[in-house]
Amino acid sequence: MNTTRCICIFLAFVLSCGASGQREVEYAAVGVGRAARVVEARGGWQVTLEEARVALGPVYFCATQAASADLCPSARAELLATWPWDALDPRSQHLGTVHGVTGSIGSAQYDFGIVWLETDTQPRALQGAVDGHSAVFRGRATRGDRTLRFVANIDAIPRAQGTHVVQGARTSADVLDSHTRLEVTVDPNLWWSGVDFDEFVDAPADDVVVVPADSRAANAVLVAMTANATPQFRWVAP
Amino acid sequence: MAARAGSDFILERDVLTAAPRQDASALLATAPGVYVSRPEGEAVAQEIQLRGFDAEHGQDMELRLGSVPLNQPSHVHGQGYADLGFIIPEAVRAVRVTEGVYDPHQGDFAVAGSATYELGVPERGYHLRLEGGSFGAFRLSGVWAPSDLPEDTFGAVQFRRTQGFGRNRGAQSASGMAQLAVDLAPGVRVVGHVAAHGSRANLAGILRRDDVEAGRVGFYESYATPSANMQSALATHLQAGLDAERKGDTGGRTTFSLWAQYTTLRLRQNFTGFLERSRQRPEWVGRGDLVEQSNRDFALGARAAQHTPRLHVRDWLHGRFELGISARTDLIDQTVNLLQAPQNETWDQRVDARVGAASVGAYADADWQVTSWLRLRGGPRVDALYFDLDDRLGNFIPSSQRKTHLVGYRRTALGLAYGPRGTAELTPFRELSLLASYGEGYRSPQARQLEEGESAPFAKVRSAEVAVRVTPGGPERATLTAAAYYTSLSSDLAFDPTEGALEKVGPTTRRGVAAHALLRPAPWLVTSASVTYVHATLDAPPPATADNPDPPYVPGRLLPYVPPLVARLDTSVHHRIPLIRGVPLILQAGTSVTVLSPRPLPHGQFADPVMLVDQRVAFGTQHLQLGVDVMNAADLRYAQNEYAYVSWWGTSEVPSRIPARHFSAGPPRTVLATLELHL
Amino acid sequence: MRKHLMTGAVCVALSACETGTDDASSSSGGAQAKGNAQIFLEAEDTIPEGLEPGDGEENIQDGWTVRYDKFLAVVGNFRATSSANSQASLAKPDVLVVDLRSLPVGGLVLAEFTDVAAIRYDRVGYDIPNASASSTCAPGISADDCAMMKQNGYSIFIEGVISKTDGQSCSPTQPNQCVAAAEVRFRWGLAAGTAFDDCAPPEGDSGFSIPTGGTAQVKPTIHGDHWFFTNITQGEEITERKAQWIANGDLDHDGETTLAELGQVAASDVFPASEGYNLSGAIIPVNTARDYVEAQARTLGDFQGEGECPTRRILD
Repeated sequence: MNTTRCICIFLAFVLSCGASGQREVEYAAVGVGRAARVVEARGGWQVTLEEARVALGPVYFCATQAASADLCPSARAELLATWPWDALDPRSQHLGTVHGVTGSIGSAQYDFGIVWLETDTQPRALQGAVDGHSAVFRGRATRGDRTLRFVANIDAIPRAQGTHVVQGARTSADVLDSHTRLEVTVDPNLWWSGVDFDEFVDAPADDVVVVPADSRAANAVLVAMTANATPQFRWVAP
Repeated sequence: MAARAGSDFILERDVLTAAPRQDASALLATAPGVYVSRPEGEAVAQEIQLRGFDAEHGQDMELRLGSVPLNQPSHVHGQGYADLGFIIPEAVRAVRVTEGVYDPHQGDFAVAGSATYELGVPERGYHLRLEGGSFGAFRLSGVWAPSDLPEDTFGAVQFRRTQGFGRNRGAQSASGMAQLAVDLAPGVRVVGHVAAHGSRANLAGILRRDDVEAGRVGFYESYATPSANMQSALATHLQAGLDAERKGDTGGRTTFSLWAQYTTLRLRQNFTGFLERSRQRPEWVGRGDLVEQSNRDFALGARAAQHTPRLHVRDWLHGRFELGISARTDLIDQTVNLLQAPQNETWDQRVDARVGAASVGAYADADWQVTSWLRLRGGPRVDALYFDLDDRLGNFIPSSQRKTHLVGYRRTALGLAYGPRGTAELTPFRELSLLASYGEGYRSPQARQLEEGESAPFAKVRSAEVAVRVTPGGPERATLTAAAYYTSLSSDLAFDPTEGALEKVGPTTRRGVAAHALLRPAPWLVTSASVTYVHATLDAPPPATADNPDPPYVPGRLLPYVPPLVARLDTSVHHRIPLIRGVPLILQAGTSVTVLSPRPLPHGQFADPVMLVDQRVAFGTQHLQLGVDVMNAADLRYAQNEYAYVSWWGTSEVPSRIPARHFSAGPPRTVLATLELHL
Repeated sequence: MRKHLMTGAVCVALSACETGTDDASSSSGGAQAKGNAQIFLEAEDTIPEGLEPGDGEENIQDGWTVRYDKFLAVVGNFRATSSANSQASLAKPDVLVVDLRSLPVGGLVLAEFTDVAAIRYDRVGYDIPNASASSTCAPGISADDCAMMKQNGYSIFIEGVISKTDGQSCSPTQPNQCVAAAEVRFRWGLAAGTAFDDCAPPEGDSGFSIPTGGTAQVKPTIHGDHWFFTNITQGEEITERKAQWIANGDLDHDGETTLAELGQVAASDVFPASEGYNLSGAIIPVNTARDYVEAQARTLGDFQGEGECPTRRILD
């Protein structure tokens, strides 16, 4: 047996030379948030976030510019780990390890902690979701002397079984080896710039507005998260 | 039968029976550079690797039984699909393996080479062989070969059954073959044969290596989902052939062959778990990627050749010519559906097509002696292939679109392939030959990949070889061969587990060297040993697809799945020991050793090397022999085949979409007791 | 002598080793085979025929009927190259201003290539660019329409009506405030020039193949229903079709929804996720309903019917 093993090791050493095309790579992913600041929302409301916890993942990076279940049967890289991170913290936060292969990346498809897998009859939150949600926000909106305190649990739910909530998100990279790091940047402040707080202006002054999931405000945050102010992916030196 | 190149080997019966063979396809393993496996069970064709080609089920290797070509064009499970499982090993007289394309007789799929099984039973009489042992394996074979009839007249049957070496691996099969040779008149001989075969096997399928390493599934097990456990295959094969030969008075010869073949395959496999989406109903997804492939092929063919008498132009220049034609037509029905276990409800239709394929080939072959030390053989070959495809799901209308036409897409195509093949053999001394060969061959396309009017793009192979052959003491005592070869292929194919079929990967090149020794130092000892090394590379980026518009490519990239080094040893002792009252005791012992170097895998990985040892011991009298066959004697846990692709079996919280290593387990140590009766 | 011959034979064999691989066409023997290609422009049937309401996946799900009175587009700059043969290249930089409702049944010939290499062209693309003075008016388009497209630099112009017997136009921000609107007209011109590349048929390899001595028929296909999708499709059209947002965009309730009005409508107000909308994947930000129209206008270029051109690039 030892002889066999020696022969095998020798063969592996001698015959493993030669270019092999794509190679496996593995590198860290970090999340970088943006510190809370006042943003102007619709209707003249000034919004300030006090809490923004987001679950991002799983993320799949694809060769095509049109990542989707149909056009990305095989990914170039993926970040499967999902857990809540503080999107108001501008410091780098470890998100997990990206596994993949070398080559160019043209787009990404991903979820925010809630997936609707091929084998699931309905969407479900991953263990790494934020208390079972895609994102949890707390903040205040002010217009003149009117201040609305609000909390919102946002669920970004894929629209169909076996799809992701964000598909075809253009991103560009050419990953040559593992000597890189994925930096994911989000600006949760921007996600609230499209919200019209007039929807809640009739709420009692001292109450904390709980933004309903089917409200226009929640949809505005969703549209921002998934279409207009999406996470930005950059591959930087580690 | 004269060798057509340095790497033209005739495997005789003593070598073929040196060590235990699982079935007739394993007989090929003795040829240099060949590795044969059956990773998809007994009812799916063997997979062959030859000189750096992953010939899959026959895409790169022309396989014949006598004059009958076995490769099936446009097969749904892979181009050139040919299952050798119907051949009963006891009825095989010899196997000729020609590595490379240097003979004008070689036709479609002769890319890496050709193999021809010759039927015949030299040991006349009535033979019965029983095998039984590990994993409920049982095999019964019987051969009827009356001693007053020529050796190419016989009848043979075999039945096989096994529980399999792991979950969901049970199989049964039955085969029957008969051949009759009749001399109708002086110089006129007719040989007819029929063969029938049926086989059904459950399949354990392919496993993710990370799942096995994490203990989520056993090495020899299968995934515990209904979709995995419903994997199975059923194959049938029926063929008949008639060969006629007339020898002329002046040394000329005319041959004519007619054959018919009907084969079916219904194969259900799940390679990828739960990733597929229905095309017909896109909202249906995740019901299990149990892909059912069905292929029915009825083929008729004929061959004819005229050999001239030997022509003497000068004392130093003489030889003969041969002109030949071959033709075949195939009517193929094939479907691919997705099934939902356990009731096997159809949840998607992927293919529903009828292919009418026909081909006509013609060749000229010269065999001329130019001086006593130079022999030239070869000539041109041209083939025309026609395709008439009724793609019943072509011009597919997605369910989200208004129906503006009737689904279906009928298209036709025709293509020509031609090229020279030839060998120059220098014999400066009687025991030394130097051979240089060059040839161009082709592989026909999968008809469904053709567009209307497309000039049937053949995969073109160019093959060259230089070899030296030494026969110290004569070829019956020892033959030593060393060869260096080069092969380029304009469009290679590789197995795509997502579709369970072959996909184009682009042009490829192989450069290699091989050495072979066949030794019979004593009447009771035979040894065949070979080593083949190949450097197989992809020469251009794979074809672009919508999901991968710019496939990454590194010049000199190694071809995946092909072991650079294949070594094989077969040795056998067959001795008669005189006993009391003159009854001899027959003792046979044989061993085969197969070594595969680490196989390159996609993404810079290499599969583990493999070293397999098979052993046979038998003893008894002329009429009764008892024995033991042991396969994989070292009980090596090895992968018959390895792949890298995306799958998801629900063994993680979310699916990975990075290609992962998968494998099909090779059989563990298998011990079979054997009993043979010879009357 | 023997030595020379042996050496010669070996040299012949080795020189053969130096021959390269060839592509499929030349593999059929001899010199580079030639063939032709005709590039047709095809309009999806929704353009001349509109869309019907109903429960079928191809129908408008929220009860509206859609009819186009005009569907003009600028199409051209067809190109095709071969990854395997860098010498092989097809290009026709001309762009045509086309009335897609009056195309010949067999399609409009955009370009023809004769006696070109009969191989597979796997990198195929074309543009739906903004019209310019150099654009050519295609047969079938009126001079006025063509001039209008050029003058405004439009890539797409559509005019039509959505209708529903009990239709309503509801305020995007006050969904309960509705008025009856049995018909709502639209008349939209967009400078949404976009390049479409890496086109692939619904099945098989990218691009197309030219047969030896024959003619390949290649069809860039313009789809006419993407505005009604509930998502920006990537590949397979897993979507629904809805039109209520157009009615809701008629802010002044004058029976016509203009692009200016759509520019005032927040996308999040009329494309709620609760109704199946998903705006990810657009190549421009989708802040307003007008952005949505433009984003979808940049996805109209398909290939060979339902094939995709997944690489899209904004043209100035």
